[in-house]
Amino acid sequence: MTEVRQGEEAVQINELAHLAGKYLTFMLDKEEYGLEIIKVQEIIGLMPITKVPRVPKYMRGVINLRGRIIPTIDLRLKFGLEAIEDTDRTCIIVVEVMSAKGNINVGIVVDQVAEVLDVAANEIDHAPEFGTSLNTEFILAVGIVKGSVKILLDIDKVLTEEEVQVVQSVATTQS
Amino acid sequence: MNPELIDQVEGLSQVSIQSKAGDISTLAELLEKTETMRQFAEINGIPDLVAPLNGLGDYIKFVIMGEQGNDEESMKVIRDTISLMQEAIFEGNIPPLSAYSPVLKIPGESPGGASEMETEIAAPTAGTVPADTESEDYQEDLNGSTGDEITGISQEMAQEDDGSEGEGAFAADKELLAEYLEEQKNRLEQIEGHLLSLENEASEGALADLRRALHTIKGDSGFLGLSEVVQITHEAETFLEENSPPFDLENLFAVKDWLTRAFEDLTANGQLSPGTKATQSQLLGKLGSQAQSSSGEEIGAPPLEAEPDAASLQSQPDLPEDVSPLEESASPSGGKISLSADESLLVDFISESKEHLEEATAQLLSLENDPNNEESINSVFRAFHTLKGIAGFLNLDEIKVLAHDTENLLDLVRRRELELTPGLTDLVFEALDWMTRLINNIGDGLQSDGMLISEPELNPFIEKIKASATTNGDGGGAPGLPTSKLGEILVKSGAVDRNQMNEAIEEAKIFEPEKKIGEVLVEKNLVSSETVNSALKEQHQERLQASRKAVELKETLRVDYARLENMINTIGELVLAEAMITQDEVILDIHSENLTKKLYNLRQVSRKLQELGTTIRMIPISGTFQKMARLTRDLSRKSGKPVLFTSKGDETELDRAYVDMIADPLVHMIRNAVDHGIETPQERVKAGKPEEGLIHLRAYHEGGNIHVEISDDGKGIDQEVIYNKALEKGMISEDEKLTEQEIYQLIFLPGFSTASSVTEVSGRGVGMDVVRRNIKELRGQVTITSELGVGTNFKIILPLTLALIDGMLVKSGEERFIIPVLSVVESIRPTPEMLSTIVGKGEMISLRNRQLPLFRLYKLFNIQNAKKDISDCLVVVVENDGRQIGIVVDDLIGMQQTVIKGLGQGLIDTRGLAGGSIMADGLVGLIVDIPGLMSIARGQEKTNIEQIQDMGVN
Repeated sequence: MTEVRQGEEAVQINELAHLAGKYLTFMLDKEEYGLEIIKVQEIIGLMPITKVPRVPKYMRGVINLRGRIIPTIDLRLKFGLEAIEDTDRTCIIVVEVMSAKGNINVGIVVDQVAEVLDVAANEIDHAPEFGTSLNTEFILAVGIVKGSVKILLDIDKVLTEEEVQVVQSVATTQS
Repeated sequence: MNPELIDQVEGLSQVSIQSKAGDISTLAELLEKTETMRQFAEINGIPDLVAPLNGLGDYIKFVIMGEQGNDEESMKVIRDTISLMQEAIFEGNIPPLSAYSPVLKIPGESPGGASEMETEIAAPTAGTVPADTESEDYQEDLNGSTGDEITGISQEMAQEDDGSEGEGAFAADKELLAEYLEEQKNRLEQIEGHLLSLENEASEGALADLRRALHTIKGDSGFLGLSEVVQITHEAETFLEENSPPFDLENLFAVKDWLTRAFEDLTANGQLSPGTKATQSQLLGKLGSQAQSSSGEEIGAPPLEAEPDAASLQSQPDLPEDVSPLEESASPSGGKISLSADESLLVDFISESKEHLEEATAQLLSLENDPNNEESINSVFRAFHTLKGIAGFLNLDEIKVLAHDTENLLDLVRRRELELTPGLTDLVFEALDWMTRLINNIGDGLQSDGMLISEPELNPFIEKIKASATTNGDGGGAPGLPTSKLGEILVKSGAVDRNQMNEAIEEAKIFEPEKKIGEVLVEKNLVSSETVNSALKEQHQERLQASRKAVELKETLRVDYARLENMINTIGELVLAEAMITQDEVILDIHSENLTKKLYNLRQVSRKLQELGTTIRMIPISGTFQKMARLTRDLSRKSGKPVLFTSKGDETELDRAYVDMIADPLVHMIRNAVDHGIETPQERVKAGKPEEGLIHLRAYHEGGNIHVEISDDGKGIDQEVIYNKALEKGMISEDEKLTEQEIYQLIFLPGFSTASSVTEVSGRGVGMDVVRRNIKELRGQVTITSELGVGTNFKIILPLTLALIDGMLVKSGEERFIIPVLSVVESIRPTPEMLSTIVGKGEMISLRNRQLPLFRLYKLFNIQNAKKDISDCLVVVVENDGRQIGIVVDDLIGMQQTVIKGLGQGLIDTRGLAGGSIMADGLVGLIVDIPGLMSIARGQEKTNIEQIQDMGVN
C-alpha cells in the first residue's frame, strides 16, 4: 500500500515537470505568487482607473492601455485579502487569459512585482488540499525555491471560468 | 504684356518643341501647363487666350486618349497653336479666333468677328471637338460611345464596379455559404447546449432559445435554397410547438446530429451527400409521426408528415417550381473532370463571373417589372455571353454549354422573337442558379483535389432551355452575338439604314440561315465588303476594350476586413492621441503662434483621417436590397400573391458590418409582410386595391442615422387583435395601459404570433424576435406605424457606423457616462412643479401631460457623492421599445462622437453598459446601454454579481 502511494507520488511529480520554467513573481501581502511568464503582457505603473458600476469590489474598473480598454482587478480583494492603500510600488500586471470568447487582456493590481524566477521541476509540488474550506483549483502548483514558497497561479482560472466559484469559495472561507 | 504670362507661354512652347508624337508624359506636362495658363488667363481676364487655351487643352486630351491621331501631324497643330499664342502675347497682335481653328471647332472660313462673349461661352463646348478634317471621325467616335453597345458595356462595367463589394449574390454563393456555415457552427453548439439543459430541466427559456435557433437556421437555409435543412428545422420547430416538455428529446438530438452532418457535407462539398439525404427522410418521418401522434392536429406542413420523402415536397403544387438547383439534385454527383486551366485564371474567373451573375440577376429582376427594357435584356445576355467566352477559354465545358444555350434563348428574346414570359424568366433564373453552382464547383475543386465535379443533372436542364428556345422561337436563330451586333455597328456607321438591315436579317433567317449577316449584306450590294470588314474590326476592338476593362476592374484591391478594422481602430487611436496632445495643459500654456498653427494642421489631418476611416467601410445597401427583391419574388410565387417590389435609396451607404446583420431582420420582415400583411388578390380587389401587393424598401440618411423602411400596402396591423392576443397569452396584464407604439412593439416578443396557422414562411412568433434582437445588437431601434386596411411601415433606425457613437456626456457624482444620442428623446432641467411621487418613493416627472418614471443614475449604478436634489439635476428622457423613462444625472458635460470599445466582456458583467470609450483626457468613459439600464431600473433582472453581493460578499 505504501509502495503504491509512493509510486503515485512519483508519477504526479513527473506530471508537474511541464510546469518548470520562468515565472514572474509578485507580492500580495506577505505571500509571493508566480505567473507563467508567457501569460504576462507587460507591467505598468498604477494609472487612473475608471470605476465600473455594478461589479464586485475586486473589479477596480477599466484602464486605457494605448487605446485598448482593459478590465483591471485587484487581486488582493479577489483573494479576500484585506484592502490597502495603493503605494508607489503598487502596479498593474497585464496578462492574457483565455476565456470562452477568446483571449482577452486583463490587468491585475498587485502590491509589488518581485522578480523573474526560474523554477526547476524538482522544486515544484502540488498545492495541498484544504477540502471545502479553501478552493485551490486556481493554483497550478507550489514552488519551493531557495526555501521560500511561491504560489504558482493558473491565471485563466483565477480570472475567468472559475470566477464565481472562486468568489463564492472566498465567501465561504470568510463566513 | 504680363511677364508671368510670357513666362508661361515660353514654358509651353519649350515643352511643345521637346515633345514627340506618342510620348504621353510630355503631352501630360503640356496639358498641365495649358491648364495653368488657362486658369491664369481666366483670372486675369484675358478672354482672347481663354478660348484657344481651352481648345488646346481639349485637343491635347484627345491626343493623349488616342481619340485624335497621336502623330506628328497633331503635334504640329499643337505647336502652331502655341506659337500663335506666343505671337499674340509678345506683339499684342491678337489673331481672330478662326486662326485657332485647328484646335477649335470653329470652321476656318467663319468670320472672326464673333463677339468675345459668344466665343468665350462657345469655346469650352465647341472646343471639345477638334478640327474640321478630323471632326467627322470624331463625331463618329462620339456617336459610337453613346451608342447602345459601348455604353452598355461601359455601364455594365461601371455597375459591376459599384456592385463588386456589394456581396450581393443571392444565389447560394460560395461566400454566403461559407458565412452561413460559420454561423451554423455556433448555432449548433447553442442547440446542443439548450438540449442538454432541457434534459435536466424543462425551462421555458431554453425552449424558446432552442426554437429561435432552429428558426434562424431555417430562415438562413431557406435563403440559400437548402431545402433539406429547411424541412428538418421546420419539422423540429413544429415538433416543439406540438409537444410541451417533458418530452422525448431523442429526436431533437437526432436533428442536431443530422444538422451537424449536413453542415459538414456542405463544408466539404457544397452539397449534401446521398447518405445524409437518406437519413433526412427517415428523420422527417420520425418527427412528423411523433408530432402527429401526440397532437393529432393538422399543422401547416402537410407534405412533410404525410409523405416523409424529400422529393414529394417538390411535387406539391403550392411550392415554387423554381426551386434552386441545390434542391433539385437529389441524385449524387457524377464523375470528375480535371481542371486543366491555370489556377489563378480560374480564381479570377470565379470572382469575375460572380459579378456578372449578380448583374444579370439584378437586371433579370428589373425585367420582371419592365419586360421590354432592352438594356436589361442586353445586360443579361452579355453576362452569359461573357461567361461563355471565358469558360471556353478555360475549358470549362459545362459552363460554356449552359451559357451558350441560355445565351441563345436570350438572343431570341432580345430580337423579339420570343416573349419574356414569367416561365421563361424562371428558366433564366434557374440557369443563373445553375451557373452559380457550377462556378462554386470550380472553387471546391480548386480547394480540394483540382478535380471538377460534373453535374449529371445539368443536361436535362440544358435540354429544357434548348426546348424553350426552339418551341417558342422560330428555331433558326443563329447562335450568338455577332449577327445583330455587326448589324448594329453597320447601322450606326450609317452604311445601311435600320430597315434595310432588318429586312436583310429577316431574309437571311428564312433563306440562308447558315450565312452571316455581313455576307448577306454584301451580296445584296447594300454595303461593300470593306465596310463590313471595318465593322468587324470595330466589333473586335469593342470586345478587346471590354476585356481590357475587365482586367482593370480586377485591380481594385480587396482587403481583408480584419486588416481594415485594425486600420480604422488605429486611426481612432490616432485621433485620441491628437486630442490628448492638443488639449494637454502644458501645450495649452505655450503661447506660440507657430505651434498653434502646427497643432491646427495636425488636427485637420487627423480629422480627415477619421472621416476617411468611417467612410472606408461604408458600402451601398444595394446588395441587400437585391437579395430582398429576389426573396420577395420567391415568396410571392410561393404564396400565390402577386407582389411588386420597389426600392429607393439603394445607393445609401452603410457600415459593412451592418450589411450582413441587417439582412436577417429584413428577411423576417419581408416574410411577415408577404405572409400576414399583403392580402390575397381576391381580398385586395374586394377592398378596392390593385390585385398586386406592394412592398417598398427605402433607405436614407437622416440626422446622422441610417433609416431603413419596409412598407407594404397590406391589411395593416390590428391593434385590438394584438392586444387581445397578448392578454390571452399572458404577456401583458389587463390593467396595463399601452400606447399605440407599445402595442405594436408587442409583436416583437418571442412567441407572439397572431397567425392561426403555421406556414413554412411564418407564424410561429419567432421571426420578429430575431428582428428585435439583431437590431438591438446593432444599437438600433424599430418603430412601427400601421393603418388598418392601408398598410404597415416598419422603420429601422441605425447609427451610421458600428464603431462610432454619438454620445451625450453626462456626470453623476465623480463619474462620467456617455448616453447614446440615438436613445435620447430630450433632456430637461425640471422645475419643482413637474415632479411628483407615488407613495413617497416612485418619482415621476410630468411632461406634456404624460407621467414618466424617473430613475436616478447614481442609485442604479451605486455612485457616491451625486446630487440629491432633482430640481438641481438634469433629466434625460430616453426611449426604448416605445417606452420612455427619465434618467436623473448631475449635469451635462457635452456632446461627443466616440469610438466604441469593448470592456473586456465575458470577464465582467456589464449589464447597463454598452462599452467604453477613451476620452480626451485619456481616461476611459463608460457608455450606457439604455435597454439594459431600463431593465435594471425595472428591477426585473438580478445579475449573478448582485446575487453574490446580496450574499454579503466583500
